[in-house]
Amino acid sequence: MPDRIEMLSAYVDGDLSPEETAAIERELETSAELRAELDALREMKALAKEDLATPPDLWPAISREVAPPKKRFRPPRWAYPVAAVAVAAALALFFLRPPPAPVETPQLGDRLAAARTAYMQAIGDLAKESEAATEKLPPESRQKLAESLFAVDEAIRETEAALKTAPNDPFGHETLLSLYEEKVRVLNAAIEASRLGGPS
Amino acid sequence: MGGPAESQPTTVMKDADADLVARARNGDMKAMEQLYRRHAGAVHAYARRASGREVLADEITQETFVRAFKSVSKFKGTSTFRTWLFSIAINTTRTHMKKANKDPVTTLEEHDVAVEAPDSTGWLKKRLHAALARLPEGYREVVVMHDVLDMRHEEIAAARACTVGTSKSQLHKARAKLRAILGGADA
Repeated sequence: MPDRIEMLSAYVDGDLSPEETAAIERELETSAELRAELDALREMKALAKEDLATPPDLWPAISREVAPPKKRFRPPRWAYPVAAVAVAAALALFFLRPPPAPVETPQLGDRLAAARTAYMQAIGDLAKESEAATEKLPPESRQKLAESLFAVDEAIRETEAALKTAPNDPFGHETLLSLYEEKVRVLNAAIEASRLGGPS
Repeated sequence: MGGPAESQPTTVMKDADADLVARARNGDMKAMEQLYRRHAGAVHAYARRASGREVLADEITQETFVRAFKSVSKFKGTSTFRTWLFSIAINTTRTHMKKANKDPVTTLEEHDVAVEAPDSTGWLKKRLHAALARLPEGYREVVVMHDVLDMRHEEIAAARACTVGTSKSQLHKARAKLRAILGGADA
């Protein structure tokens, strides 16, 4: 009987050759048992159909596993060397003034805002005195000062651009903060240099 | 049958998922989510019926999609995305079944049969599902894909890395065995 059921199964799906189809149909005409089996097969096939009910929403779990890892903020590759260059230039100018006492402000936003204020203030001061300041400096010092300021400005621009893609990265803000402070330090050093009349 | 069966294309099929797949290759999470929403029902139903265990279906479905999306860059489009996805679902289900190391006959559904009214559609369906769980792995796969999910033999053969003839032959043998399990014919 299993062989006959396999034949019937193929008949139900239309997989038999015309000759095989004709043979099984002749047999069906004379065999009630085979007809019953055909009905049972058709019923079984109909019962098997699955209602594709929506499964539980697995997407949140799947997306967590397949999402690309969040890119950790990376400062511009020359952010730290630039800071070092700025310090070295300031040293070369002999104008390094003692660093300001650290302000105990635990909030990064507060520190950043204070640094921005100092940065803008220093730029304003330098704008007023820049001509006199640079004229009093020897050409090599002026060149080094210009290079340092350019390098720090480039680092600030790149860090700010990087922060646009990762605005909440605390490490990025720390880097930007340190660059602001560095520029303030260099600018103040230049102003101080002009007051002292340049290196002796 | 190891990895996804892309090597058995039968005919060139137009893939309705092609655009989404292209975007998914570039890491587009929205495209991946759309692909998931399109195929989750079928994959989940396959996992449920082919494993014979309701409790494994979520796990198998999740793993299938994770594996698919993580390796979507390797999908060359020689089959449809659905066929490729099902080849992953088949392998994932087999792996889970090996881990479970239990006879699928001991499913919850078999016990549930007793609480349904005899001869009701629900009762008959549960008897059928319990019988399905007792089929050999290959038979069960082809019955689930063809009769439960209404997939064509060309697609089934591509996903299972076999010929269309083998797929048809296994289906007819599987139905005969099901009838025997259900008591309608001698085994």
